[in-house]
Amino acid sequence: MSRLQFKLLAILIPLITAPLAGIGWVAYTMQQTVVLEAYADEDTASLSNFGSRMQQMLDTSATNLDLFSESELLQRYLLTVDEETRYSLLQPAVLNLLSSYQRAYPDYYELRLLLPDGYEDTRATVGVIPNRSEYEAQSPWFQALRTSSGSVFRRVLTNPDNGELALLAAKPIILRDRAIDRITAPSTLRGYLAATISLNRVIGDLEQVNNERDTLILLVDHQSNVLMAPGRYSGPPRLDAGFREQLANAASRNSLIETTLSDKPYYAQRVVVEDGGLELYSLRPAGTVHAPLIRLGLMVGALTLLITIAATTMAVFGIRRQVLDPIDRLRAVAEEFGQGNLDATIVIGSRDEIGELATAFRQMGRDLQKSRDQISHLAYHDSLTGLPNRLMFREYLTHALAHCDREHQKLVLIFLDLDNFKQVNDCVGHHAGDRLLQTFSERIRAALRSEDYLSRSTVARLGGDEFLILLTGLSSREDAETVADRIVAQAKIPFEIDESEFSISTSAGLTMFPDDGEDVDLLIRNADAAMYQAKAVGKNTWRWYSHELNQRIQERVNIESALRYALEREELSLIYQVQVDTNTRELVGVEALLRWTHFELGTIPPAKFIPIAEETGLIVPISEWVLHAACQQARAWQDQGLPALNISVNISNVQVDREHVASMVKTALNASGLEAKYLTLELTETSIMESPARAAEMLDEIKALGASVALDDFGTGYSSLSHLRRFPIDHLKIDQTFVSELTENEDDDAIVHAIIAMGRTLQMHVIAEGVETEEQLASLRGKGCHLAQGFLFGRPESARAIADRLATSTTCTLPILSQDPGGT
Amino acid sequence: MYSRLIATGLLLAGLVSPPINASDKKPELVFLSWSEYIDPELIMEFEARCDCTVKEVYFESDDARDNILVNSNATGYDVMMVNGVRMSTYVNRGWLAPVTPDEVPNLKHIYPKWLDAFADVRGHGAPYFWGSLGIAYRSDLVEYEITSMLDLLRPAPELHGKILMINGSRDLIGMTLKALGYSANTGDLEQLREAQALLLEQKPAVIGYDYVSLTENSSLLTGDVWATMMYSGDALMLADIDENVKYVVPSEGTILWVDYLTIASNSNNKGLAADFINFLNEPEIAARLAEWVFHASPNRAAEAYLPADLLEDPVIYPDIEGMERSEFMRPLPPRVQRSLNNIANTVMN
Repeated sequence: MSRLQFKLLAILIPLITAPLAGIGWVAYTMQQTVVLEAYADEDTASLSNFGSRMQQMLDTSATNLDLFSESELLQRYLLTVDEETRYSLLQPAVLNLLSSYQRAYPDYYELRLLLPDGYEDTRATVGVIPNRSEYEAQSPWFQALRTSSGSVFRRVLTNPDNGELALLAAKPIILRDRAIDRITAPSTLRGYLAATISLNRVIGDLEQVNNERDTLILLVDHQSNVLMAPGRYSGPPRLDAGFREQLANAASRNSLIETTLSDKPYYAQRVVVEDGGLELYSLRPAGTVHAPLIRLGLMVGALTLLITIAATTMAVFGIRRQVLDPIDRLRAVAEEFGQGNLDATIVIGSRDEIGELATAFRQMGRDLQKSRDQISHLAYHDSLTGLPNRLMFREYLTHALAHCDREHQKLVLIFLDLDNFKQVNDCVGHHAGDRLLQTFSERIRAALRSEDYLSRSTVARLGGDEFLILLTGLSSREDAETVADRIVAQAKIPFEIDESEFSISTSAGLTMFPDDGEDVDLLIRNADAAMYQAKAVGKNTWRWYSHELNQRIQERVNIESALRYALEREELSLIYQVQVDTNTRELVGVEALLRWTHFELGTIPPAKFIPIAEETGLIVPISEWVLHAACQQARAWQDQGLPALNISVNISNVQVDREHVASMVKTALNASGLEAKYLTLELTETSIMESPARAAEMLDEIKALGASVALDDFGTGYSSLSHLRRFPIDHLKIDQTFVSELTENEDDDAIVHAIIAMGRTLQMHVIAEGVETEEQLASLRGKGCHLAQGFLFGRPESARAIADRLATSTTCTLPILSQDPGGT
Repeated sequence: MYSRLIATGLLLAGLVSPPINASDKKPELVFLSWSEYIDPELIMEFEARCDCTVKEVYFESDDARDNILVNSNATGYDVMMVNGVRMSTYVNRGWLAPVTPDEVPNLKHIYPKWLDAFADVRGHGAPYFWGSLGIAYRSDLVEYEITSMLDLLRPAPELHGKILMINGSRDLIGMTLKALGYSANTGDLEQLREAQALLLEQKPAVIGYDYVSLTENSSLLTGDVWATMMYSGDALMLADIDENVKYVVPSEGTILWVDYLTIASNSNNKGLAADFINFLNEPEIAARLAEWVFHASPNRAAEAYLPADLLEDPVIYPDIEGMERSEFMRPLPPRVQRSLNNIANTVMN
């Protein structure tokens, strides 16, 4: 969270600070400009003021000298050559005149008439000013004056007489001697009128400005000599050319130029007083400019910093309050969600994005709740029927068991399984099967609801067509039986699905707590076992769980699982029961019998495992193996040079029902190389009668191959003569039940007699099974039965024993029978 | 003030110059002179006698007169009062018409020595009066007796602000030179410089450089001025009004002066001017004049009409020969004059 705060601040602070710093900078630069301009204005004003005053003095001096020189007295004086007249008479008047000028212009403290050679002829001064020299010929200014061409020569210089700065203005006076001729006489330079003008007032003001302000104002003459400077001026007495040039080249008059003088930084300006060769400089020490700017900069900086701190603080609080705290709350809620508390409330009411986020969170909470309910429902319920699934049922049952255990109550568990549901699925598809299951579950629920007053119930679907019902609060076993009755009855009502009608039934197993078991798994197993029991007794009914029954079922289950591996483990083998001629007792054939020797359970009788094999469909591969093994053995015997034997192989009902027995036979014959005429396939009467059309077709195919067909266990079914006639049957085998009672029971005797007669009529060989005594043999022989098999002729034997027996006896085989089926 | 006088003079000269003899107007004589230097009654007598009018134009110092004449080129004046030392200058300028016994017969009454006292006097001027230059002071205000120029030039503190110095440059500087023990006519620039220094040293103590008026309102009489430089007769004139006014010839000696009446060469009334000069040199008239101005008359014939006390007054008639250190003013070489001009200008302006 602090990282987010840091990020937000990292965005916000520059957003706040950058404009502030920008504004501060702009303010600073603007203020700097203002300050510099103000200074420039101040200095410019000073310079302009003094410049114009100087200029004015210069102008005035020129005007005045022009005026003064117009004096007739002056002119007459200069034209007077006679010295006596000049000095005795005229000069006092001239001096008076000059003095009168000086009274009008006190600044003109020295007015002089200079002769062309520089001799100082007349000198009027204001006050006493000692005169250094009466000859100015050597003075630089006089030399300049002599060479100057202008009307009035002006120069600011230091007056050597008093050491003061003064403006020296001089005007050459050129006159014609009017005494000679007013017009034609040549104009001659008669002398100069020179005024020395005090600059004290200007300089006094300059000094005052210099004293009062930071700026230094320099007065500089045409030769760069510093004429006047304040005491603190530390620069050279003569400005260097570079400095002057820098200022002279400055584009704008009204701006300060940054420069240095004697390595000291200044902001400088210059004004030129044109006529006097004078320059005025203002030098503002950079320090005095920078100091306020630095103060200003510091102030702006401090202000910016202050505002930044304030804004940042506000931003921190604002972010914390408006963003981080709500996000924190959302995070807490998210954690609550994570821990499963979807009811966590979100106290955020703002209308911004965070508010929307909070709303989304609330929606997410609701959606999660819904999803969790759905997932939970999916986890605990069967999606097809909406009933609780095995998982939930187990939980519920656990609770119920604990409860009933505490309360000493009884509890009944009912296991339901639809009979033959697999066939429905196979016939009409899974969709219809699902619909049937849904309808059935509705019916179960309806049935249970009607029993609510009796007990509390829960129904669950375990998967496939299996259902579990839990009944609690029972008063008696009868209550449970009533429920079972009703459900079995409901299953029997035809189901209408996709406009088709299905008849189905259900088998139910019941078990009771605590009588039959005390834990969940055991109870479920018991109910399951009871259900099997119900199925075993013919389906469409219910059974209570019984321990003994369960034992058998358990055994059957064991056999079933062992049988699946019998072929792989080569636990199956064939033994052979001999068939003999009743007259000669000679060996005419053998019936191949399947023997299963389990590696743990030992020999398992066919009566135990054949029905199981038939139920599970394992009978198909087993039969195929038997057929192949028998054919190979018969051929092996022949190959050993033994007399050819007829070999009989049993075909189960299931095979007749489903498989292409003929092709299987053909394959076996081809594989073994046995001639078909030595093979007889035995079928039971019932297997043929269940679907006579298919049986007939199959028998025809077998006959076409060249093999024989025997009708096994004849007499126990319901075959009629008309049926028998339709089938290409070669042998009838009289069931041993008839044979065993033959000598003691007249009915059996009659039946055997009839069968033999019928066989004869239909030109079929008749074989009597289970012949155990001589009497039975004699009776059968007496009734015209030619063939028999049974313990009287020996128990079923191994292939080797049969081979031995064949080797020791010359025998006449079944083909004899075939050749003479109707023989006595 | 004198500029107004100049203007008046010029104006008068303009008015007078056209020949207006044909008209009824009386001829006018313009007389340039010191004020209070002639008895008004005599003017009236002359006016009556000649049937003319006399216009008096005054100057208050020799320098001022020079100035007036320089500016007007000595035009507009008929009779001009010129001090002896200026005579040759004026003659050289051509400003003066001849004044000989031909024009002024009464010159015969004049002591000849006054005609030879200065160059170019003979032939151009008629001596008017002569006298000394000394100190006039208020004996009632000044608690001690003033005897030396130095009493003025280096005045006692109580005299500060009470001294008026004369405004004629040669008189001022000359008397200062004498106070220093030099000749008033010295050409030694160093001595001149000393004199300048002394004058400048004195300057803060003086009221100014001017000549007191000779009327009853004179600042010497009012007490504004306690001591001043005056010509002898003028001082006596004021002393006649207030006996507390005392005149003294400085112990260092004095400068003797002679004033001459001259006729302007530019004058259109030269005849009348000569008549005027001649009138004033009539012995009786000259005597009346001397009595009125308290000056010594150069007119020998006039002495007969003068009272003895006047003739014996040592102020009026100083013992020239006995005054070793006294001297006449002499023209100076131009360059010396130039220096003197500068000194005067420096001191007085």
